[in-house]
Amino acid sequence: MARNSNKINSKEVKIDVHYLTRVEGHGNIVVDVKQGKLAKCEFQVIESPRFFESMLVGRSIWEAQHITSRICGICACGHSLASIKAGEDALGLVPSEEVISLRKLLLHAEIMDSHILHIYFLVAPDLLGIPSVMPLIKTDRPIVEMALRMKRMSDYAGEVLSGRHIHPISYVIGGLTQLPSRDGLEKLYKLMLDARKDGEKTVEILKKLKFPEFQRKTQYMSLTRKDEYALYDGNLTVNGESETGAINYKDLLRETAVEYSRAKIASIKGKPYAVGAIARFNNNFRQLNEKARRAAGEFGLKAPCYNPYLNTAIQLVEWVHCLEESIKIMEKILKSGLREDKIVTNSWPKRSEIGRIRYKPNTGIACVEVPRGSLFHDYSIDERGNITQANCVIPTNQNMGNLEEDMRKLVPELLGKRTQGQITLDLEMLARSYDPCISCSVHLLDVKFVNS
Amino acid sequence: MENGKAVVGLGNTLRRDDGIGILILESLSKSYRVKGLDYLDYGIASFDLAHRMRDYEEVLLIDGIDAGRPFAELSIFRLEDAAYTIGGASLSTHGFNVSMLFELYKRLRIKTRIYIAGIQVKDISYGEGLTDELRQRQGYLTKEVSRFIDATLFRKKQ
Repeated sequence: MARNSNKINSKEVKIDVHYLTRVEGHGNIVVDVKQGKLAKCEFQVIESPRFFESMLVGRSIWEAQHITSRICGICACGHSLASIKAGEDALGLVPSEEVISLRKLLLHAEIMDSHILHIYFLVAPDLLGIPSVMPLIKTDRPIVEMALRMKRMSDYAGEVLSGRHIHPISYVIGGLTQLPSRDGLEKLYKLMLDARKDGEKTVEILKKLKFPEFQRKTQYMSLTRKDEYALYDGNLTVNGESETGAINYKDLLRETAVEYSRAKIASIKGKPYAVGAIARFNNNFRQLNEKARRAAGEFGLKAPCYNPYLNTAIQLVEWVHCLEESIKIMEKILKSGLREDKIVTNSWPKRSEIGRIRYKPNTGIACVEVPRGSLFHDYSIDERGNITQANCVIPTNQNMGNLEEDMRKLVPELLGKRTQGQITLDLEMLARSYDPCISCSVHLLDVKFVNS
Repeated sequence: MENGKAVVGLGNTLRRDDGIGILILESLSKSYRVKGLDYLDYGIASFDLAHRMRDYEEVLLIDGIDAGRPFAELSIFRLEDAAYTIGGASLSTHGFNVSMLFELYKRLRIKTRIYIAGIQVKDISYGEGLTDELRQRQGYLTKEVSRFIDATLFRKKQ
C-alpha cells in the first residue's frame, strides 16, 4: 500500500489499498476521485467463494453444527449455536431453560474473546500510531499480558463448557452430550471474577485514546428482547422498531451480488444497514446492565451512536456486559448445580440410526448475535433428516454496503483537509472498526529452512 | 506449567489437506495415550495458542506447511530452526497466523520448547477429505509423529 504524505490535489485522488491489514481475510479499498467528484468507492472482497452451504447439502442435520463450527476460527461457537438452533427449529425440538443458559454463557464467552482480540490486537495499533501490537511488548508488556489474560479467560470458558476451547464439541441439537465439570466451572468463575479489574483497566486505557470523529446515520439491525440485551434470540429490530421474527429474515433483508466483490451486498428497504456491536447498542441500550452502562458513560457514549469508529469502544461496553451476565449465570449454576436430566440430551441419535429415522421434511431458521452482528442459518431437511438446502447470512456481508456508504460520505469530508496517506489510513481504520471477518483462515506456514 | 507436554493439532478440516494436522491428532489421541501428555485440537484458532502453549514445558504442533518440500513429506523441527515470513510491518489477520504467533512468542520470551511437525500439503481448496496420496500416508505420518513424541518429548530410546 502506498502512503503518500504529500498534500494532494483534492480534484484527483486515487486510493488503492491492496490487502487491507489487521482484518480477517482479504479485502481491498478502492477510491477514485475525478475532477473533485467521487467516481469510485468500493470495498472489494477478493476471497475465493467458500461453498460452505454446498458442503452441508446431503449431510445429516445432526452433524451440521460440527461442520459449520469449522467455518470460522473466531465465531466458531456462534456458527455452532446458529446451526443447532436452526436444526431444532427444523426438527421441532425445544431445549430446556438450563441448556439455553449454558448456550448464552458460551456465546458471551465468544463475544468477549473476539472483542478483546479486536480492541487490543487489531484496533489499538491504529489509535496508538504503531504498525502492530509487537512494539507494545517492549514498551507496555503488562498491557499485552493483560490482553492475553482476558483472552485466556474466555477461551477457557469454551474448553470447560463445550469440551474444546474452539469448535465446540459437546453442544448439540437438544442439549449437551456431557455436563461441564464442577472443578472447571469453579475455576472459570474465579477467572471471571479476576477479569473484572482487567476490564476496568481496559476502559481506563481505551478512553484515553482518540477515535476519529465522523457521523453518518444509517439503519441499525439487531435482535432485541424486552427483558435482556439480546444475543442468543429475540426479534429482528431496525432502529429501535421491532420488525419481525428471525424466521422472516428474507422478507426484511435482501442480498445482492455485485461485480467487483465476491461478497454479496445486503440491504433493508433498498438501503444499506449496519449490524454488530454498534447496532446492538443502539437498539438495546436500555437492556445493558449497570456496569456496562457505566462503562459507556466513561466514553460519553449514548444511543443512538452514529460514529462507526466508536464500534470498538462499544465492543468494550459489550465485553463488560457479557462478563457481568456470565458471572450471574455462573453463580446460579454453582449454587443450584447442573441437572443431567435437564441438560444432557436424550434425543441425539446413535450413529447407526442417522439416516434411518424418518422426519417431517421441514425448514429451520435461526439467528444469533455473534461478535460482528446478526448471523442467520437456514436449512431445509428431507424425511431422512438430510439437508437439502442451506443458507448462511454472515454479518460481515451485511455490513459491506454500509461501510461503502460511510466511505462515500467520509472521503469528500476529508478532501482538501488531509493528505492522501492520512485519507488512506482513515479509510483503513474505518473498515477495521467494523471488525470484518472476510474469510476463515488456513493455517499454512510459509517456511524457509535456515539449517538445511 | 500444567501437564508438561502437549500435542496440538492445527488446520481446517474443510480445506482438504489443511486438515492433516487435526486428522493425525485424532489418530494419536486414540492410539497413543500417555500419562502427562495432553492432546489439543486448536483447529483454526492460531492466535489463542499464544496463551495456551505457555502452560506447557514442551509442545509439538502438527500442521500443514508450504515449505517447497516433496508433497506429503514430514519435517520435524524446532521453532528457531525455521525462518518465517511475517508479511510486512503491519499485522493482518491473514498474516496473524502461526508465524505471527511465533513472533509474539519470541518477543514475550516464553520458555516453552516448541516443535513443529509440518507436513507438506498440496491442495488447500475448500472441501472435505485429504488428497489420495496424503490420505494413504496418514498412517505412516501418525507413526512417525508418535516416534518423535517417544524419542524427544519423553526421551525414550528407539
